[in-house]
Amino acid sequence: MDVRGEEVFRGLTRYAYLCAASYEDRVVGTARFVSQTPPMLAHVFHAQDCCMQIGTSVAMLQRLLPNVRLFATLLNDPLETARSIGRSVDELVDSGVREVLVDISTFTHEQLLILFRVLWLKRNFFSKLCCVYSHARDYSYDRAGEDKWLSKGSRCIRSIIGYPGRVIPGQPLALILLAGFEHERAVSVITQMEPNRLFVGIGEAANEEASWHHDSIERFSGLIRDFCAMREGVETYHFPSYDVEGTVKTLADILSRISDDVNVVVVPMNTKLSTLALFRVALTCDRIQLCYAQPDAYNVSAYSIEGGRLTFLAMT
Amino acid sequence: MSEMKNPFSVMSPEGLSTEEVLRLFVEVAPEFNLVKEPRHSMVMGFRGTGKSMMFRYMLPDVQMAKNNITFHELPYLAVHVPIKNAQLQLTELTCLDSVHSSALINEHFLVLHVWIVVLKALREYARFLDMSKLDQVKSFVDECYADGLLSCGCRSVPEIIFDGSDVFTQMHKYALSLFADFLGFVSQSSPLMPMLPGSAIRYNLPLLSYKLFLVPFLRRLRTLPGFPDCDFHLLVDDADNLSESQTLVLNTWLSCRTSPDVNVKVAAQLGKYKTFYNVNGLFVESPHDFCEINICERFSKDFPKYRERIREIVERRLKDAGQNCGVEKYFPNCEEQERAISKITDDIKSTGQCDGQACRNNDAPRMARAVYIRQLGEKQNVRSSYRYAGFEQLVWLSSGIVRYFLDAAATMFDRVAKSATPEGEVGQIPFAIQDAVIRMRAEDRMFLQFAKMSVGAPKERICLVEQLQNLTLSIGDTFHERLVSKKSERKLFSIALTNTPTRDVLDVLNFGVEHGYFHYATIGNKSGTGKTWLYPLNKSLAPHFGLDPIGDAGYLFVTNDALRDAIASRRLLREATPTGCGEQMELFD
Repeated sequence: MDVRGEEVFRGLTRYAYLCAASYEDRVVGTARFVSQTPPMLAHVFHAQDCCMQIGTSVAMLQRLLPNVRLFATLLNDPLETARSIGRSVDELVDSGVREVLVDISTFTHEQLLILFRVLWLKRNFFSKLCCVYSHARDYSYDRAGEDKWLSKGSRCIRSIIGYPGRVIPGQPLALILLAGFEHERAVSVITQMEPNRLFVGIGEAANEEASWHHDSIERFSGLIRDFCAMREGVETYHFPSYDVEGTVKTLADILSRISDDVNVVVVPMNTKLSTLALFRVALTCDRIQLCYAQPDAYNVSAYSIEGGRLTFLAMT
Repeated sequence: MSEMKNPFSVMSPEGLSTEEVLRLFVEVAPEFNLVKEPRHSMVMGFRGTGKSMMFRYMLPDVQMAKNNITFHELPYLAVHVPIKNAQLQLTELTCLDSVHSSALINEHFLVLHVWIVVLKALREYARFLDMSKLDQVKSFVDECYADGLLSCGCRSVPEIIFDGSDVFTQMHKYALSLFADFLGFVSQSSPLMPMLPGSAIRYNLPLLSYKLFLVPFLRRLRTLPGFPDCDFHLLVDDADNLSESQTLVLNTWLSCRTSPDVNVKVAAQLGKYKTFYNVNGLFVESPHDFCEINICERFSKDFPKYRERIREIVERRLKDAGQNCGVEKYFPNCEEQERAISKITDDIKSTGQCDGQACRNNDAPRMARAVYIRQLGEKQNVRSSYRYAGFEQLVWLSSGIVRYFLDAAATMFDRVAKSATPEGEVGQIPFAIQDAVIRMRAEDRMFLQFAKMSVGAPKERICLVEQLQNLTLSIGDTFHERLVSKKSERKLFSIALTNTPTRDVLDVLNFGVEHGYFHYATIGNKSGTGKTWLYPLNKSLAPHFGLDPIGDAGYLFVTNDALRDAIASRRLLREATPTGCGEQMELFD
């Protein structure tokens, strides 16, 4: 396993481990790695309304991790998900465990941001809040080129609990997208939100990522650009999908160019590392509203292949 | 990608200047006249049918410029209240849905939202206010502002200072502070918050009300010196972005008798407006509570007017882009095809017969195109060589939705522009490009769209998607079979039900309407005793099924059982007769 930021992990002594059971095998690979220095306890979130593969994932995590507590979430009920996450963090506080490691890879963007917010609200109870991200070797591995898909459609767009922003009536709307491979979802978000200004972020892969990744990004970003070509007030920008600090800087730069009399909505659709970056930005800029575009369907049978690389980092 | 300005690009009406609106908007009677009437209205239409553009056109800046009148002479004062996705529907607020005060709190939020937008607009008109008549202004401020807010629970309302600074700016500032307080409450009521020790959700903010605060405020605006003595129109746009609780509140406003002084005009997408009940559980309906205007009906009831509307829209856009070109020249048809069809038409007229059956001269053009399509299939076995091109055909294919036409045109322009020289301009869209784009869009709807809707979706949704696809394919194939037959009436584009549809069939049909595969209308039933359901197929699907989209078409009466069959097995539809089986046709008039 190729590990970056391993000193963050080695610095944990008595920690709680949080992860989301998934149809992706990444979550199991990461759990296997951390179980070498096992956590005191593990909280596993499982979406009850996702798919059958979640049950299999839960079972495997229960075998790998000690003292597993299960917390049910619902993709279609963000309130219940928020309550479940809240109960989990409350238990952590009550347990006396002060170090937390979150595998951010397989949460949805919405779940992850809610979890970050709750941990942040209770940060005084914790001495260390850390994250681990498992890189994928390939996405939509049963398809090639433009046939690759991760999710389809956009069932609804909703504000994420904890990030209502300051959306003032009568002000124009600037929409910032951190787009990824899901051009259809991005197009759906743009169509439904009808922003006055649009910033379409094209995520850049790190140099060591496979060439397919670069090709896919180029292809999908081209599709989005073509869609936006027939609209006015569009600006594309690039951000480093796997570099949290770089993405923070890029977002901060864009925000600095948007005046205060414009409402700002940001929709994350790229890597969870970029979502972590978004969380950091939201902490210092409460005017931005974060929204989640829930897809109609995920490619549960062939979403990703574990890449054998982990990145550990601090949450803030 | 071309750097030429695409004359058909998507423009947000909100962002258009007064001059742009005047250049681009095409008035359509009677819808526009109905919307201007001093009563509550509900404007329904699919996305892209021109609802927001119509609202934009109603605003004071455009009305003043168009009619060459002053602010004081305006016949009505309209304020546009757009409801953006997730703007009012904050997820935290759904916590309130289970508590008894949800309606009151949501009404406060909605009133606050509307009031802030109104105040922002009034700030622009403040320059017309005659401050020399201070007593009248002070009276308005005292009674409709200060007293109104106090009666809604505002504890301390800052005094308005009449020193030359704009009164509406001061009001706007206070309204924003109320809004900030409310957002604070939203954060506190979040399910994340109870985890904090000692926290509890309490509501101790004011409760602004439509009837007790907003209506008196808006009513008294006309008494301000310098303001027009006219009715007030609140243009609530994209109301389908409200939550169900908020929609109940808005419907309650519609059921309030505040017209003609204060009129609420609601625009929403067909099939997406959350409910037609109000907070008291009563059903709000047209014409009792509001005037309903269905923009899509224009297409089916008066195509020439719809076509002329598109013509004018396109010509204005081309002129704006520096092109003075007629639409027929810009979107030419396939001349070879049209010559062939003309020849068939002439043959039919000269013999008075078509395929051995008597045919009137008036019907000859309709029959000729069907014969041509059939002959293509017979000679070349390739239906796809029929060309969907030409302005008239493109208008029909847009199926009543202006944006369909403009989106398709934008794509066509882009394709042509990509191959144009840097110095060149796009003087027309070749028929081959028109045909290719139209076919691509039809295929996208028929295959890609269904695939997207169903892959990985929950079981019940997959089922509905598959059923809709079966039904659409069955209907389309049935219509094609009829088109290439030698029956007397071969051009069909709608199904009509002979009996009441069952819940399962209705679910599929409504799903189809919601996703734009069918339209919905009513017609007289076969027995002449009333109305029945009519579902025209979206004409943009014509290329997939090899149908002729031009002109009026007949409808096929079918039974609920036949539809059920089609939904389950994609079987071709059988025609229903008064006895329930057999062959009989009627012409759509």
